[in-house]
Amino acid sequence: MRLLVLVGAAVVCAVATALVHPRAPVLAWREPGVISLEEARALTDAVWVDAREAREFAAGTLPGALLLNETAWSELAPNFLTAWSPERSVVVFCGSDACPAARRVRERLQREFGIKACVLAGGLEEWGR
Amino acid sequence: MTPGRVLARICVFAPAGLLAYAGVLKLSDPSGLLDALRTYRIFPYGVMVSVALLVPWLEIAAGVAVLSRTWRPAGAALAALLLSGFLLGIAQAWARGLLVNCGCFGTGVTASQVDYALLVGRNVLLLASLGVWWRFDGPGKARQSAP
Repeated sequence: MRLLVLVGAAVVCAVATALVHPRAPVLAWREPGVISLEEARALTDAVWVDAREAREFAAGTLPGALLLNETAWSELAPNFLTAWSPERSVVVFCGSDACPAARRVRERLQREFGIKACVLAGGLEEWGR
Repeated sequence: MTPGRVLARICVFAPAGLLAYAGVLKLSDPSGLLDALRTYRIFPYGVMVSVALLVPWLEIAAGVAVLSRTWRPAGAALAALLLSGFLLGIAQAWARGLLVNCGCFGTGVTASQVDYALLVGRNVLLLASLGVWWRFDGPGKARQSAP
């Protein structure tokens, strides 16, 4: 019984955290801003952004993808901004869902340039299936 | 208080205190914990978010509960459940050969090599410690001494 009380108290605190914590993730079944491979392929004229490190990008990426990562943001961002235009969607990807780089690049694009990008669910792993 | 009882108390306070400490660290960045959880590749997003928000509070609840004699068995049971869950998560990642970010003490970076033996060993040790308390100073002792 007391165990249930402890769990209940934790649930209440977790809900409060979801509501007020500045670093709380969005409570949803499906992650906002993440699209499936089919949805990404349906976007015509999208800018594909590889958020991995340069050496991984050099080893192989999606056709036409641009390199943009946090490590060399100031050097790579101008190249991305030249290719991008407001009518073009942006799809950011990484090696897999386990890699946080794509989400970080998406957040930074929104924060610094006001660009609403999407993250490819599953990343390159999904593409390769 | 006998030295044996002091030792038994340490066996419950140490794991619960460690969990509470880890809970406070995790609570400072739930999104970072979510990133760590992604590397385990077990749950869909909706479940991972719930885990990232709930686990820190469960850890803190376990740590605080063991401070009170009345709530100690429930706190210890919650700590044991949490440690068992962590153990399962780590074991499945080890079995699948995944490269995980432990997330044990909040956010971290994905290591190029994960010392799974150390992670499993630590959790087993903490669980054993709770078992010692349960047997010699907790409900297990009361059951044994009952006629």
